[in-house]
Amino acid sequence: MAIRSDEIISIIKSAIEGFDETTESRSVGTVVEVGDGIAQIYGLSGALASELLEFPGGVMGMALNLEEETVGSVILGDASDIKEGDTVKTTGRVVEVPVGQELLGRVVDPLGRPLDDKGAIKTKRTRPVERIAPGVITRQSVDTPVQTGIKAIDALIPIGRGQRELIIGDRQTGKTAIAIDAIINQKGQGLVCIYVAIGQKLSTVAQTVATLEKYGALEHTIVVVAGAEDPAPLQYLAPYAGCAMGEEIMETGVEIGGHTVKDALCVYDDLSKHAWAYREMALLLRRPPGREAYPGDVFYLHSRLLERAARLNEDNGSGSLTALPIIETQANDVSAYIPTNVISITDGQIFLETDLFNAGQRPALNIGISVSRVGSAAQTKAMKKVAAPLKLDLAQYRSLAAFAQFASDLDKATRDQLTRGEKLSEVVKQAQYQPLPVEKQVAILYTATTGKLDDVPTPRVKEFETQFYRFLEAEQPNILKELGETKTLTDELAKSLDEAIETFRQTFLA
Amino acid sequence: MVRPTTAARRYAEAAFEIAEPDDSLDRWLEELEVAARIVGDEGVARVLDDPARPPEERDEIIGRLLGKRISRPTLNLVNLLAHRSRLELLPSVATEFRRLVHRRRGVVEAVVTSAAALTDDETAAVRDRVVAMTGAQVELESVIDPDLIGGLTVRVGDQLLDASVRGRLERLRDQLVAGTR
Repeated sequence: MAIRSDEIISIIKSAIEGFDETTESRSVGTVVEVGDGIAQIYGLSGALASELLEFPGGVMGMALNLEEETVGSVILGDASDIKEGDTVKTTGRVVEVPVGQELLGRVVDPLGRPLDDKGAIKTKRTRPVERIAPGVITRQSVDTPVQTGIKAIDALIPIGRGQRELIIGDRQTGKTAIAIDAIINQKGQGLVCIYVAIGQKLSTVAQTVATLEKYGALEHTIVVVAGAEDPAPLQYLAPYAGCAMGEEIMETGVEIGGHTVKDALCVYDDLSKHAWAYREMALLLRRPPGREAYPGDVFYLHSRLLERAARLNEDNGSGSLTALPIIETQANDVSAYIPTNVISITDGQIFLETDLFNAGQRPALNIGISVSRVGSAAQTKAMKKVAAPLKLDLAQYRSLAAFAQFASDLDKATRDQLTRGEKLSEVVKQAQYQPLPVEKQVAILYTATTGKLDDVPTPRVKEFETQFYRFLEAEQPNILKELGETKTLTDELAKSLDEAIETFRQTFLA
Repeated sequence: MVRPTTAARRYAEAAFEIAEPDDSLDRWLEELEVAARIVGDEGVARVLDDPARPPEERDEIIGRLLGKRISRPTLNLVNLLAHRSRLELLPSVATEFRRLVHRRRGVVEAVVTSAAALTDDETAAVRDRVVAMTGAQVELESVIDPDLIGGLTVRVGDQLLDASVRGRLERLRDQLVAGTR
């Protein structure tokens, strides 16, 4: 696009001529102490809590500790040029971020400044990053699913729109992978995703963004990044900024492919590092340390964030904001301070374990202790039908698994149960970046729970699965289509599915 | 600017309560500022802070340094601070005392910063405006800062009135940058 320089000049000329020459009156203070990204400012008597402050050189700060004579503030940016005696001005604005349509597909920092190479972000609206969560009057219960595309989750630990489901596990157990798969699966599903990376290596973030782009998932995603090299205050702000962007979608909506979308999914990756950043800030601001040196309000830190996830009722636009917080545990210790806090705030958790991961079960879900407290209300009818026997069979399999080595001495009923469990465990395994549409999930789970996989050798189950999908797509597209549209598994549909499975089994096992 | 700690404020309040009934606020203020200047001197501070020096000797030094310049009650305050190893608070105590006196008398301190020295007429005009604005007596301090380019800024307490060329240019820059976003 060619830009005519005389046009620019005339715009600037009119801006200069029309410039308001009035004097400006602002509340000011003086820096008396600065260091570690924290500044104590004497004066600023009119400062608001979490107001943006302006340091010399355009560096911004946030007022946090409002004391009798001084204000403790964190510096949001490069603090190296700020020195004692500098004048600090209030701005009259609390910390806010740009929100809206223009952010889709972008990578931004917690103040909404672009970090990618796609140019300036021209949003018209901003929102304060901190806001009180919507009240009960405006909410309704969860009734629409978030399809993650992961069989084990959609069937056993279903997540509803507006729910808060924690993903918890040690390092390297596939926590982020689950979130990314869920984001990839939202392509064309009418759900905008916000991925908030807190305290991660920039190389990891770049990789994640590249993955999203590769699978065409970046168009419906906003990535908010406060990397490991960013100061603690920015890491602290990141999830609230992401949440504010999500609230805009929940309340106002955005356009995707000609449709207005009012559902958002916010992934906070991860809140352990967020708590660390907040601890760092709080200790530097000399707030008294409590358990594990976290400040006293570390519970409120996460509860006020996660409480902003909501499903609004019809009078309020029927939007939703789903939260998928991630917590990294140390050596599977879920009874540490932050994990217990977040477990108690969320509506359920997905537990990932190193042992399962190493045993080849991926995603490494511990189905026994993972729960979803509200999501089952949102499950589709078809999924409910196949999930019930799946849950039961897997639970029985777990209780019997210890006897598996005595297989020859067991009665037939027990042996059958063990076989069924083995096949089912094989079926819920799923490779990364391969989210599955819900109709295919129902089809394969139906096959497995009705015992039609029992005589397929376990190593061939994966092969059966992939070929079965191909068979259905080629030979019986109507079944998948109807399952996808009606989302119910009627008796007639089950019958035609039975027939299709039988036909396929004959060719596969021949 | 010295940051007034809570402790300094308490000492200043106590001194103020002693001075006010005696009607000796001005003398106290003057003496406190003299004492603060002397004690705040780097060489003097080093001698007084020396932990190896016995307390009696330190009292004697303080007496010799300040005895002739300040009256008994002020000297007592200085000695009290010395005994409690808080002599470094003295400058803040003086600042805080001045603030208390000003508040009692309804005086506002205003700092006028200008790019070039103001003429007497200009100073008087600024004073009149600040008096009209605050409705109080004004103690005006003038600072010259060529960085302002032109115009002036007036700071009254925590309020800064910015009518400088630099401030206007900064605001113009912000507006232009915001316009191109």
